Amino acid sequence: MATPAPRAATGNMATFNILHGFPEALVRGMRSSFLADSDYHHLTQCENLDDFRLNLSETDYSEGIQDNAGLTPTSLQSAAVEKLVTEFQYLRTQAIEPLSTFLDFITYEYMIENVMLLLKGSLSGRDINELIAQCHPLGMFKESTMRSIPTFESNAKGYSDLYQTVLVDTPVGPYFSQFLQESSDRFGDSRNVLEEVEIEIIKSSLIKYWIEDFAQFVDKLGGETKQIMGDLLKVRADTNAINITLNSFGTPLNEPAMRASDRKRLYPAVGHLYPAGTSMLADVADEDELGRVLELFPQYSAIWNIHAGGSGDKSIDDAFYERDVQQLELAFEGQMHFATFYAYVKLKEQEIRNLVWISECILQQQKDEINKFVPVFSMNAPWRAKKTR
Amino acid sequence: ASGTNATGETYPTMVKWFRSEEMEYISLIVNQDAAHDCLADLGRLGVIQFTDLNPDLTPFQRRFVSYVKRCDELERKLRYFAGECDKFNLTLESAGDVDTFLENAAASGAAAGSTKDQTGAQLLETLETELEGYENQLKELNSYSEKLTTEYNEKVELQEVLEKARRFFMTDAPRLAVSEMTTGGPESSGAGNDKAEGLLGPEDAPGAARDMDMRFSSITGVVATEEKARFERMIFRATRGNCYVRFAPIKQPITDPSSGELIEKCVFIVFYKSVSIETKLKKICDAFDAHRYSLPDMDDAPAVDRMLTENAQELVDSRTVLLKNQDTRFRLCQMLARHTERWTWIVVREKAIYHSLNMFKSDVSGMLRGEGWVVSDSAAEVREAITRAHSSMDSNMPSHIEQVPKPWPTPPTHFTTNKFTYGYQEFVNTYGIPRYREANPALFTAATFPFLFGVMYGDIGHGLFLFCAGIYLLWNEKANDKAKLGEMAAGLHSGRYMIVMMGFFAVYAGFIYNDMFSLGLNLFGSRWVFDGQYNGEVEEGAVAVQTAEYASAESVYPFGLDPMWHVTSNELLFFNSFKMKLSVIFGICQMFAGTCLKGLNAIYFKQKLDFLFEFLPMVAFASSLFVYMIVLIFMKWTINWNSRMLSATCLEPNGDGWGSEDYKECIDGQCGVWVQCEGQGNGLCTPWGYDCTDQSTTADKCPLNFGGSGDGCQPPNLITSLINIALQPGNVDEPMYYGQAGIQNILLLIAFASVPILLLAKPYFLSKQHQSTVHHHAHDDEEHGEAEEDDDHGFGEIVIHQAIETIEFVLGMVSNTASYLRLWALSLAHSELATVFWEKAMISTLNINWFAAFIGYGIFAGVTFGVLLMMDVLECFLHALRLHWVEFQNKFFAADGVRFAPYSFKQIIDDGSA
Repeated sequence: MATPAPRAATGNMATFNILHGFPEALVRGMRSSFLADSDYHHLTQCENLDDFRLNLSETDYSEGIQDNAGLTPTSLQSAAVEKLVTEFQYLRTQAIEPLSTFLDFITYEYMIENVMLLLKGSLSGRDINELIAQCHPLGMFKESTMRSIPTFESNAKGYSDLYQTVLVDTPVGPYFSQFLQESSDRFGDSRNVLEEVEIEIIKSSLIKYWIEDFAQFVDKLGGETKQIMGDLLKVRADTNAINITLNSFGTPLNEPAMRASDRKRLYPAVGHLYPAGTSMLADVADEDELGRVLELFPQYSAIWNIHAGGSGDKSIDDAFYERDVQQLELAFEGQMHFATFYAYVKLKEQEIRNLVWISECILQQQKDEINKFVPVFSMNAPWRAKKTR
Repeated sequence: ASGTNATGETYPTMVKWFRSEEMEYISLIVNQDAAHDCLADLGRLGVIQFTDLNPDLTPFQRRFVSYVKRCDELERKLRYFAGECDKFNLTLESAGDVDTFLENAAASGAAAGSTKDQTGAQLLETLETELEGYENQLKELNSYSEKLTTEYNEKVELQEVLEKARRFFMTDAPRLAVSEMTTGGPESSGAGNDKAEGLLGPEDAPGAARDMDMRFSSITGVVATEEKARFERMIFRATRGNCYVRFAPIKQPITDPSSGELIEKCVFIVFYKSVSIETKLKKICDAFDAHRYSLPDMDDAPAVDRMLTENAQELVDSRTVLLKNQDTRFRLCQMLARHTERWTWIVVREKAIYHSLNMFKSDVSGMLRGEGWVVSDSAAEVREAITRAHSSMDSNMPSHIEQVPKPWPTPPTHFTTNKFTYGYQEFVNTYGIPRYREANPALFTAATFPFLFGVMYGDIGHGLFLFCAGIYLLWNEKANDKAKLGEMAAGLHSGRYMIVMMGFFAVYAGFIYNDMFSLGLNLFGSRWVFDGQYNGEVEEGAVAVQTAEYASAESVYPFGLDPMWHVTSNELLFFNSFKMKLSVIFGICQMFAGTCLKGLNAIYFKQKLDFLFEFLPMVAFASSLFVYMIVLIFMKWTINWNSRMLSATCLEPNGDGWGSEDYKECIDGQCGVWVQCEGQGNGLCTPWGYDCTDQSTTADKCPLNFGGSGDGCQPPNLITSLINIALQPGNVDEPMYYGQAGIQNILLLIAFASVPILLLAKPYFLSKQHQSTVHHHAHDDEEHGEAEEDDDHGFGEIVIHQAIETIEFVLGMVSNTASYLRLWALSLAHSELATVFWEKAMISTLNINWFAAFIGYGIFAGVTFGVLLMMDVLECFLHALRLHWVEFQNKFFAADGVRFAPYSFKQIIDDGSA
């Protein structure tokens, strides 16, 4: 690091622990709460969800599920997320600047997702209580704020009202205003895009702004945090860019006119692909072309090949998850930087995904599908198994 | 050794505490139907520890998992009950003593045994239906209560809204309307702006303009006070300020129906003018969960009044219903609070039974086989319990209990403790569980720990405080036993006897040191007097003289040290010398005792090699150097140095000192006889008749002939003498007895010789033993090459282990002896601190005036309490602990045992409620 940040306490072996030693120790202690290989093994052997619950009662999840008589994948997920949120809030209360802002940044993603979920849900006319129940607890606003979000019309005027009345008070307000600014710059208020697509575009834009903002913040922190968290965010940005491109095929977004004007704007302005890769991605029209572009980036060509290989065994999402887990594990094992906290949240999220997957498979008696999950800190993970052999 | 116990011989408690209880590994085969009853009886006895015979099965693959699940479900219900009771601030009533609970359960079980066969399953079933009923009842009542509360809240809120609105329209609204009329046109489009001005404008004469307020529509309702500001802001933003909002707080907080919490709320009224704003406002109200209430025409005063009275009537009705519901709920919870703990205990007990049964294996159908450790003394009880359980099933079903043929796995360690010994045993267990049947250091710790604490803490006053604290804990023993104590208080409670003992020994050592708050007590009258002491004319540097003849019975202070030492200038020198010697003596005694325990263990376990080549060399080494040191210390104390030194002093015959009674040396069988010399020297004589010359040395003048420069007439410096045993063998400068040099050489040789024996002998004999066994097998074992490699490896380990042991013992004896000097150091620190506090806080302020003394006493008391009664107690405690854990226990204690964890209901229930 050539120029140390003025308050270089965030990625510096000598000073990190003065301010952030305790939260880091806490999060490191939570390492032992991850399910072990043997736990996963036992869980996958279960015949029904009662057994599943009994097995979980031997793990750290026991308290969350002990009063949960009829376990379902949904109730399991909410209990597990609840546990994660409790832990996260505890960390948050123990954190001081700049770690507290860092932790807040983690929650912004969930806030964006919640806002979009509410907007989308109101489009299809779903009940507000049902929608709120689906929201991620990490990204919760006050209940009154949550309830007022879907009351606005879903057009440009409605969104700007939404921003001015409700979202301006929330941490994700700036991203929204950035979006409104940019869209009015482009085509004024008159343009009418298909609503469903519009929602996806809003979401992608907000996430893009979030990633850029986050990356900027991390950059300012400097030190190890800048290196490790910066890398995590770059990969995250690339994943988003690839996914946006991939998902745009067969939608109006892939029309030549919109590729440059709209799709390109959704690519985050950070990442390994930026700017050369993203400008190439902007011209891509179908999967083959996308494959040819990714061929140039070795770290993504492997993942793309899994998708292109089409063995059906693994989707590109699975491949991304696997790569993420590997990277997050490394970030978690590192010390004296903030990425540990991010990695903890994301890895726990993966674990919850695994639990839900296994419980779903048990419920639907899909025994042969049951092992398709990405265990966290597993000794059998491909990148570890290779080493030992 | 196991045979002695089988005869039913009962040992005294002390002996039983010395070695852990004998264990038997038994296997029991019980009938499946009787299994539950058997285990219920065994759990009450609490003397058996089951081994898991199905370690490869996961919890849900086990036999009785469904029962465990049912117990879990019952526990969930009970937790729900407890939570509900907590909402009413009801504390769960204690189900009484665990012992009586278990006995009652047994009695009822036995009584019921004849009538119903499957007590266990049936018990669960009845409990299940009972609790299920209560749970449903409670849930129903709760949901009903929620509904009623919502209704009631609506009424309350409407009442408030009506009242507040009426007041608003009667006072504020007319003013508003008037001001508006004066400032702007009635049909003006910018109504909002006008109104804002109107609000700011002067309040003119009141008067009603009916047509004005009709142009504004209004929404009234209730919103949580917490949300008020955000609500107002949101309305302002959504309507761009084109509305007018007023709030009025509701005094009484309103109960939230679902959570039961009290929430502060306030009434709001919003005036607006357009329909589009109305929809926006409605949406905002929905978002904020604000209930809207539509108002009647406010101008129609009678209608409003009628509505108010009607609503008030309904309010009273709904309140009665709600209270009735609450009362029913309360009474149900009261009933539940009475029983919940007892139910919990029953469920916990049942769960423990099924957990244990899950460890059983069913080899033969209908039968279950379990294995486990039983305290030998209680094996008969176990047998009896199982036969009883089977016989009550009124069918001759077989049950087998037999000892599993040896070899057994490592038996667990169990001590039967009482409330006195419990604390000390835990003390040792914290360091490590004693190996099965090895000498238990706790037995000795019970005496030596408080004693060594006392040596360090020795002060009558401070010790008395500690003693009283301990007595207070004993006084409250019964109450504390039952009460649920905090961590700190529970720790003190379990150490209550230890605290009493520590206080007692601190007082005892205080009497020995004659030290009370740093002052000496002149209880028996000092045996020393200063010149002019009784006239109050003692001068600086005056010398004290003994009141009785030196070494006579009267010259000895009856108990402890003479108080006069506290006022002498060599006080510190004297106390330090005394306490240091005392520390070393206690230390070596304790370590030697520890070494002897090693010998006892070797004999008990019949380890011949350990006894001959570890214990004996250790004893030889320890006694030749360290026990000898004690001997020297005592010898120096017992010799009358006054007399001996006098015998080597040159005096003028018939001078002042000639013929003194102090001279007591015996020469040629005659003691204390003064012999006049021939006067061939410089005219001076020693008491035994030697002619002094100017060149004569102490050795010349001394009548004794022990060698060295002192020749026995000069008190030796013990430290130098001891160091010189090793540094200058054969050369004793100031001997105390004849032939000291020779004896010391022999001792040194013994010490040196014992080290190689300790280091080499055991490994040598072990390898020899091993070789002979290997040779036996060598003929028929083809793969012995590999085996030999393993053996070499093992032998190397043995040698290294032995080397470590040797080094630790030899170096440890030296460093541990030095470590015991902490007894002196802490005692010194204690007395010096007490002195400083007394002198600086009390003495100095006493001389100023009464107020300073008042303050000074406060400081003295505070510091004495904080530093000496709290910190120093802790410090001395920790150091005494260290002396036991390190210096004493490392001489013999293996501490690699496994704790006996019996299957006992009492234990399980206690753990559960803690």
